[in-house]
Amino acid sequence: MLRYYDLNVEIDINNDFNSIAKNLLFYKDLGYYGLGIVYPLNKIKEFNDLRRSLEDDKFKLYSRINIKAKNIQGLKSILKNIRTKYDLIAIECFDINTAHWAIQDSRPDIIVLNDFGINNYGYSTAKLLSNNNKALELSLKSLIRDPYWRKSKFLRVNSKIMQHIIKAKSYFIITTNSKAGHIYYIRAPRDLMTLLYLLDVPENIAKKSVSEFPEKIILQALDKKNPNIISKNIRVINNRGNNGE
Amino acid sequence: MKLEKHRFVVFKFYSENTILKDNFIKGIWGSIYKIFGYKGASETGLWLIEFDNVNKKGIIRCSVKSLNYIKIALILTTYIPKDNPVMFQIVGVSGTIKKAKEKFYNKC
Repeated sequence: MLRYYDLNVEIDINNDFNSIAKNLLFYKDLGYYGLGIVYPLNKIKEFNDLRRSLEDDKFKLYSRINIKAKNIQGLKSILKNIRTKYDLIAIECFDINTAHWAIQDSRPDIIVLNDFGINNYGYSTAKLLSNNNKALELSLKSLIRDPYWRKSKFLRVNSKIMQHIIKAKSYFIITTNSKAGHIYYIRAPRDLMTLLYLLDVPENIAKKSVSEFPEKIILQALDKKNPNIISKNIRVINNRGNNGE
Repeated sequence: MKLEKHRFVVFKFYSENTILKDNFIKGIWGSIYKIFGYKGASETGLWLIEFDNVNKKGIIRCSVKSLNYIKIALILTTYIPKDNPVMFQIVGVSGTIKKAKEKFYNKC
Protein backbone atom coordinates (compact mmCIF):
# COMPACT_ATOMS: atom_id res chain seq x y z
CA MET A 1 0.00 0.00 0.00
CA LEU A 2 1.30 3.45 -0.92
CA ARG A 3 2.27 5.89 1.81
CA TYR A 4 1.26 9.49 1.20
CA TYR A 5 3.03 12.57 2.51
CA ASP A 6 2.45 16.32 2.85
CA LEU A 7 5.75 17.87 3.84
CA ASN A 8 4.54 21.42 4.43
CA VAL A 9 1.95 21.69 7.18
CA GLU A 10 1.82 24.95 9.08
CA ILE A 11 0.22 24.80 12.48
CA ASP A 12 -0.79 27.64 14.75
CA ILE A 13 1.44 27.06 17.75
CA ASN A 14 -0.69 29.39 19.88
CA ASN A 15 -3.60 26.94 19.73
CA ASP A 16 -4.03 24.45 22.54
CA PHE A 17 -2.53 20.99 22.24
CA ASN A 18 -5.85 19.17 21.72
CA SER A 19 -7.02 21.30 18.81
CA ILE A 20 -3.63 20.95 17.06
CA ALA A 21 -3.73 17.18 17.60
CA LYS A 22 -7.32 16.98 16.33
CA ASN A 23 -6.43 18.84 13.13
CA LEU A 24 -3.36 16.70 12.50
CA LEU A 25 -5.39 13.53 12.99
CA PHE A 26 -7.72 14.81 10.27
CA TYR A 27 -4.78 14.44 7.88
CA LYS A 28 -4.45 10.83 9.02
CA ASP A 29 -8.14 10.23 8.24
CA LEU A 30 -7.60 11.61 4.74
CA GLY A 31 -4.93 8.98 4.13
CA TYR A 32 -1.66 10.75 4.89
CA TYR A 33 1.15 8.68 6.41
CA GLY A 34 3.73 11.41 7.03
CA LEU A 35 3.57 15.15 7.64
CA GLY A 36 6.32 17.76 7.66
CA ILE A 37 5.37 20.19 10.42
CA VAL A 38 6.76 23.72 10.31
CA TYR A 39 7.94 24.58 13.80
CA PRO A 40 10.05 27.44 15.22
CA LEU A 41 13.29 26.49 16.95
CA ASN A 42 12.20 27.68 20.41
CA LYS A 43 9.13 25.39 20.33
CA ILE A 44 10.92 22.19 19.38
CA LYS A 45 10.15 20.70 22.81
CA GLU A 46 6.41 21.12 22.19
CA PHE A 47 6.86 19.49 18.80
CA ASN A 48 8.52 16.47 20.41
CA ASP A 49 5.56 16.16 22.84
CA LEU A 50 3.16 16.29 19.90
CA ARG A 51 5.17 13.69 18.03
CA ARG A 52 5.27 11.35 21.03
CA SER A 53 1.51 11.48 21.53
CA LEU A 54 0.40 11.21 17.87
CA GLU A 55 2.91 8.98 16.15
CA ASP A 56 2.18 5.30 15.56
CA ASP A 57 2.86 2.70 12.85
CA LYS A 58 0.53 4.43 10.42
CA PHE A 59 1.29 8.07 11.11
CA LYS A 60 4.60 9.93 11.33
CA LEU A 61 5.52 13.56 11.97
CA TYR A 62 8.70 15.29 10.84
CA SER A 63 9.95 18.70 11.95
CA ARG A 64 10.59 21.21 9.20
CA ILE A 65 12.02 24.69 8.92
CA ASN A 66 11.46 27.15 6.09
CA ILE A 67 14.40 29.44 5.34
CA LYS A 68 14.12 32.50 3.13
CA ALA A 69 17.53 33.01 1.54
CA LYS A 70 18.50 36.28 -0.08
CA ASN A 71 22.25 35.64 -0.35
CA ILE A 72 24.70 32.77 0.01
CA GLN A 73 26.53 34.16 3.06
CA GLY A 74 23.33 34.52 5.08
CA LEU A 75 22.22 31.04 4.11
CA LYS A 76 25.58 29.49 5.09
CA SER A 77 25.45 30.99 8.57
CA ILE A 78 21.90 29.72 9.19
CA LEU A 79 22.46 26.22 7.82
CA LYS A 80 25.51 25.69 10.00
CA ASN A 81 23.43 25.65 13.17
CA ILE A 82 20.21 23.90 12.24
CA ARG A 83 20.94 20.72 10.28
CA THR A 84 20.88 18.47 13.33
CA LYS A 85 17.86 20.17 14.90
CA TYR A 86 15.31 19.63 12.10
CA ASP A 87 14.34 16.62 10.03
CA LEU A 88 13.66 18.67 6.90
CA ILE A 89 15.17 21.94 5.70
CA ALA A 90 13.31 23.85 3.00
CA ILE A 91 14.81 26.87 1.28
CA GLU A 92 13.03 29.62 -0.56
CA CYS A 93 15.48 31.55 -2.75
CA PHE A 94 15.28 35.05 -4.21
CA ASP A 95 18.42 34.94 -6.33
CA ILE A 96 19.47 32.38 -8.95
CA ASN A 97 23.03 32.00 -7.62
CA THR A 98 21.74 31.33 -4.11
CA ALA A 99 19.27 28.81 -5.51
CA HIS A 100 21.97 26.93 -7.39
CA TRP A 101 24.28 27.01 -4.36
CA ALA A 102 21.49 25.67 -2.13
CA ILE A 103 20.75 22.85 -4.56
CA GLN A 104 24.41 21.80 -4.64
CA ASP A 105 24.95 22.03 -0.88
CA SER A 106 24.37 18.80 1.02
CA ARG A 107 22.32 20.24 3.90
CA PRO A 108 19.04 21.50 2.38
CA ASP A 109 16.43 18.94 1.35
CA ILE A 110 13.72 20.93 -0.40
CA ILE A 111 13.78 23.99 -2.67
CA VAL A 112 10.51 25.89 -2.56
CA LEU A 113 9.13 27.12 -5.87
CA ASN A 114 8.18 30.77 -5.29
CA ASP A 115 7.37 33.69 -7.61
CA PHE A 116 11.08 34.25 -8.24
CA GLY A 117 11.56 30.59 -9.14
CA ILE A 118 8.61 30.55 -11.49
CA ASN A 119 10.23 33.27 -13.60
CA ASN A 120 13.84 32.14 -13.33
CA TYR A 121 14.10 28.35 -12.92
CA GLY A 122 14.58 26.57 -16.21
CA TYR A 123 15.86 23.23 -17.46
CA SER A 124 19.35 23.85 -16.01
CA THR A 125 17.92 24.27 -12.50
CA ALA A 126 15.78 21.16 -12.96
CA LYS A 127 18.82 19.14 -14.08
CA LEU A 128 20.82 20.43 -11.11
CA LEU A 129 18.01 19.28 -8.78
CA SER A 130 18.07 15.88 -10.42
CA ASN A 131 21.85 15.48 -10.11
CA ASN A 132 21.84 16.48 -6.43
CA ASN A 133 18.73 14.49 -5.39
CA LYS A 134 16.90 17.57 -4.13
CA ALA A 135 13.17 18.10 -4.47
CA LEU A 136 11.31 21.11 -5.78
CA GLU A 137 8.21 21.91 -3.76
CA LEU A 138 5.17 23.08 -5.68
CA SER A 139 2.36 24.53 -3.61
CA LEU A 140 -1.19 24.08 -4.90
CA LYS A 141 -2.46 26.65 -2.39
CA SER A 142 -3.01 29.19 -5.12
CA LEU A 143 -5.12 26.74 -7.12
CA ILE A 144 -7.41 26.05 -4.17
CA ARG A 145 -7.73 29.44 -2.49
CA ASP A 146 -7.03 32.22 -4.98
CA PRO A 147 -9.57 33.93 -7.27
CA TYR A 148 -10.04 32.51 -10.78
CA TRP A 149 -7.90 34.99 -12.71
CA ARG A 150 -4.90 34.04 -10.56
CA LYS A 151 -5.58 30.36 -11.03
CA SER A 152 -5.24 30.67 -14.79
CA LYS A 153 -1.90 32.43 -14.42
CA PHE A 154 -0.78 29.76 -11.97
CA LEU A 155 -1.60 27.02 -14.49
CA ARG A 156 0.16 28.78 -17.36
CA VAL A 157 3.48 29.44 -15.60
CA ASN A 158 3.65 26.26 -13.57
CA SER A 159 2.91 23.91 -16.44
CA LYS A 160 6.09 25.19 -18.15
CA ILE A 161 8.22 24.45 -15.09
CA MET A 162 6.64 21.03 -14.67
CA GLN A 163 7.66 20.12 -18.21
CA HIS A 164 11.30 20.99 -17.36
CA ILE A 165 11.09 18.97 -14.14
CA ILE A 166 9.65 15.93 -15.90
CA LYS A 167 12.19 16.15 -18.71
CA ALA A 168 15.11 16.38 -16.24
CA LYS A 169 13.62 13.51 -14.16
CA SER A 170 14.06 15.45 -10.93
CA TYR A 171 12.07 14.98 -7.74
CA PHE A 172 9.16 17.27 -7.00
CA ILE A 173 6.64 17.26 -4.20
CA ILE A 174 3.23 18.88 -3.98
CA THR A 175 1.60 20.39 -0.96
CA THR A 176 -1.42 22.47 -0.05
CA ASN A 177 0.47 24.67 2.47
CA SER A 178 -2.58 24.26 4.64
CA LYS A 179 -2.78 25.93 7.96
CA ALA A 180 -4.04 23.03 10.01
CA GLY A 181 -6.38 25.36 11.91
CA HIS A 182 -8.68 25.50 8.88
CA ILE A 183 -9.47 22.00 7.62
CA TYR A 184 -11.39 23.16 4.55
CA TYR A 185 -8.22 24.03 2.64
CA ILE A 186 -6.71 20.59 3.15
CA ARG A 187 -7.07 18.07 0.33
CA ALA A 188 -6.63 14.30 0.31
CA PRO A 189 -3.41 13.05 -1.34
CA ARG A 190 -5.20 11.33 -4.22
CA ASP A 191 -7.14 14.53 -4.88
CA LEU A 192 -3.89 16.51 -5.09
CA MET A 193 -2.67 13.99 -7.65
CA THR A 194 -5.79 14.64 -9.72
CA LEU A 195 -5.11 18.39 -9.71
CA LEU A 196 -1.77 17.79 -11.45
CA TYR A 197 -3.81 16.78 -14.51
CA LEU A 198 -4.32 20.53 -15.00
CA LEU A 199 -0.53 20.96 -15.26
CA ASP A 200 -0.22 18.17 -17.87
CA VAL A 201 1.68 15.90 -15.49
CA PRO A 202 1.29 12.18 -16.34
CA GLU A 203 -0.64 10.16 -13.77
CA ASN A 204 2.26 7.86 -12.78
CA ILE A 205 4.54 10.83 -12.04
CA ALA A 206 1.76 12.65 -10.20
CA LYS A 207 1.40 9.62 -7.95
CA LYS A 208 5.13 9.67 -7.16
CA SER A 209 4.98 13.34 -6.15
CA VAL A 210 2.87 12.54 -3.07
CA SER A 211 4.33 9.14 -2.23
CA GLU A 212 7.69 8.02 -3.61
CA PHE A 213 9.52 11.36 -3.97
CA PRO A 214 8.71 12.71 -0.46
CA GLU A 215 9.61 9.33 1.05
CA LYS A 216 13.03 9.43 -0.62
CA ILE A 217 13.59 12.99 0.56
CA ILE A 218 12.70 12.04 4.15
CA LEU A 219 15.00 9.01 4.15
CA GLN A 220 17.88 11.13 2.80
CA ALA A 221 17.19 13.84 5.37
CA LEU A 222 17.14 11.39 8.28
CA ASP A 223 20.45 9.93 7.08
CA LYS A 224 21.95 13.44 7.06
CA LYS A 225 20.73 13.98 10.62
CA ASN A 226 22.16 10.70 11.83
CA PRO A 227 25.66 11.34 13.31
CA ASN A 228 26.76 7.77 12.49
CA ILE A 229 26.38 8.32 8.76
CA ILE A 230 29.30 10.33 7.44
CA SER A 231 28.32 10.39 3.77
CA LYS A 232 26.09 8.39 1.44
CA ASN A 233 27.91 5.06 1.74
CA ILE A 234 30.10 5.65 4.79
CA ARG A 235 28.69 4.79 8.18
CA VAL A 236 30.29 4.53 11.66
CA ILE A 237 29.66 1.01 12.91
CA ASN A 238 31.92 0.95 15.94
CA ASN A 239 33.20 3.99 17.83
CA ARG A 240 34.84 2.21 20.77
CA GLY A 241 38.17 3.81 19.91
CA ASN A 242 36.80 7.22 20.89
CA ASN A 243 35.90 6.01 24.36
CA GLY A 244 39.42 4.75 24.98
CA GLU A 245 38.29 1.11 25.28
CA MET B 1 -25.86 5.25 -32.26
CA LYS B 2 -23.23 4.19 -29.76
CA LEU B 3 -24.25 4.70 -26.12
CA GLU B 4 -22.08 7.02 -24.06
CA LYS B 5 -20.16 5.29 -21.26
CA HIS B 6 -20.56 6.64 -17.76
CA ARG B 7 -18.63 6.68 -14.52
CA PHE B 8 -20.07 7.04 -11.02
CA VAL B 9 -18.05 9.23 -8.68
CA VAL B 10 -18.63 8.71 -4.95
CA PHE B 11 -17.67 11.67 -2.81
CA LYS B 12 -17.95 12.86 0.75
CA PHE B 13 -17.70 16.37 2.07
CA TYR B 14 -16.87 18.31 5.21
CA SER B 15 -18.67 21.58 5.94
CA GLU B 16 -19.64 23.70 8.91
CA ASN B 17 -23.32 24.03 7.96
CA THR B 18 -25.56 21.61 6.11
CA ILE B 19 -25.63 21.99 2.33
CA LEU B 20 -28.94 21.81 0.48
CA LYS B 21 -29.16 19.66 -2.65
CA ASP B 22 -30.05 22.65 -4.87
CA ASN B 23 -27.12 24.67 -3.54
CA PHE B 24 -24.79 21.75 -4.17
CA ILE B 25 -25.94 21.45 -7.80
CA LYS B 26 -25.53 25.20 -8.36
CA GLY B 27 -22.11 25.14 -6.71
CA ILE B 28 -20.73 22.24 -8.71
CA TRP B 29 -22.04 23.57 -12.05
CA GLY B 30 -20.60 27.01 -11.19
CA SER B 31 -17.23 25.42 -10.49
CA ILE B 32 -17.27 23.50 -13.80
CA TYR B 33 -18.22 26.63 -15.79
CA LYS B 34 -15.46 28.67 -14.15
CA ILE B 35 -12.72 26.09 -14.70
CA PHE B 36 -13.63 24.46 -18.02
CA GLY B 37 -16.08 26.90 -19.63
CA TYR B 38 -19.38 26.15 -21.36
CA LYS B 39 -17.77 23.81 -23.89
CA GLY B 40 -16.19 21.71 -21.16
CA ALA B 41 -19.41 21.72 -19.14
CA SER B 42 -21.41 20.49 -22.13
CA GLU B 43 -19.21 17.38 -22.38
CA THR B 44 -19.58 16.31 -18.76
CA GLY B 45 -23.08 14.76 -18.84
CA LEU B 46 -23.29 15.53 -15.14
CA TRP B 47 -26.16 14.01 -13.14
CA LEU B 48 -26.59 13.86 -9.38
CA ILE B 49 -27.61 10.32 -8.41
CA GLU B 50 -27.49 10.44 -4.61
CA PHE B 51 -27.00 13.26 -2.14
CA ASP B 52 -27.12 12.72 1.62
CA ASN B 53 -26.61 15.96 3.53
CA VAL B 54 -26.90 14.23 6.90
CA ASN B 55 -24.03 11.78 6.38
CA LYS B 56 -22.36 14.27 4.00
CA LYS B 57 -21.83 12.04 0.97
CA GLY B 58 -23.15 11.58 -2.55
CA ILE B 59 -22.81 10.02 -5.99
CA ILE B 60 -22.41 11.88 -9.29
CA ARG B 61 -22.70 10.35 -12.76
CA CYS B 62 -20.56 11.73 -15.59
CA SER B 63 -19.19 10.70 -18.97
CA VAL B 64 -15.93 8.74 -19.09
CA LYS B 65 -14.16 11.47 -21.04
CA SER B 66 -14.94 14.16 -18.49
CA LEU B 67 -14.16 12.13 -15.36
CA ASN B 68 -11.08 14.20 -14.52
CA TYR B 69 -13.03 17.45 -15.12
CA ILE B 70 -15.63 16.43 -12.57
CA LYS B 71 -13.06 15.33 -10.02
CA ILE B 72 -11.15 18.60 -10.39
CA ALA B 73 -14.32 20.69 -10.16
CA LEU B 74 -15.28 18.92 -6.92
CA ILE B 75 -11.81 19.27 -5.43
CA LEU B 76 -11.57 22.97 -6.29
CA THR B 77 -14.99 23.84 -4.85
CA THR B 78 -14.30 25.69 -1.63
CA TYR B 79 -17.55 27.46 -0.75
CA ILE B 80 -21.21 26.33 -1.08
CA PRO B 81 -23.02 28.75 -0.86
CA LYS B 82 -20.66 31.74 -0.84
CA ASP B 83 -20.12 32.03 2.91
CA ASN B 84 -20.00 28.36 3.88
CA PRO B 85 -16.57 26.70 3.53
CA VAL B 86 -16.64 23.15 2.22
CA MET B 87 -14.11 20.48 1.37
CA PHE B 88 -14.81 17.57 -0.98
CA GLN B 89 -13.01 14.25 -1.01
CA ILE B 90 -13.30 11.73 -3.83
CA VAL B 91 -13.91 8.34 -2.22
CA GLY B 92 -13.93 6.25 -5.39
CA VAL B 93 -14.99 5.85 -9.01
CA SER B 94 -16.92 2.94 -10.46
CA GLY B 95 -18.43 1.91 -13.81
CA THR B 96 -21.77 0.75 -12.41
CA ILE B 97 -23.99 2.29 -9.79
CA LYS B 98 -24.36 -1.05 -8.00
CA LYS B 99 -20.60 -1.40 -7.49
CA ALA B 100 -20.29 2.29 -6.58
CA LYS B 101 -22.77 1.79 -3.77
CA GLU B 102 -21.35 -1.55 -2.59
CA LYS B 103 -17.68 -0.61 -2.65
CA PHE B 104 -17.69 3.06 -1.67
CA TYR B 105 -21.00 4.73 -0.83
CA ASN B 106 -22.21 2.30 1.83
CA LYS B 107 -18.77 2.17 3.47
CA CYS B 108 -18.03 5.89 3.80
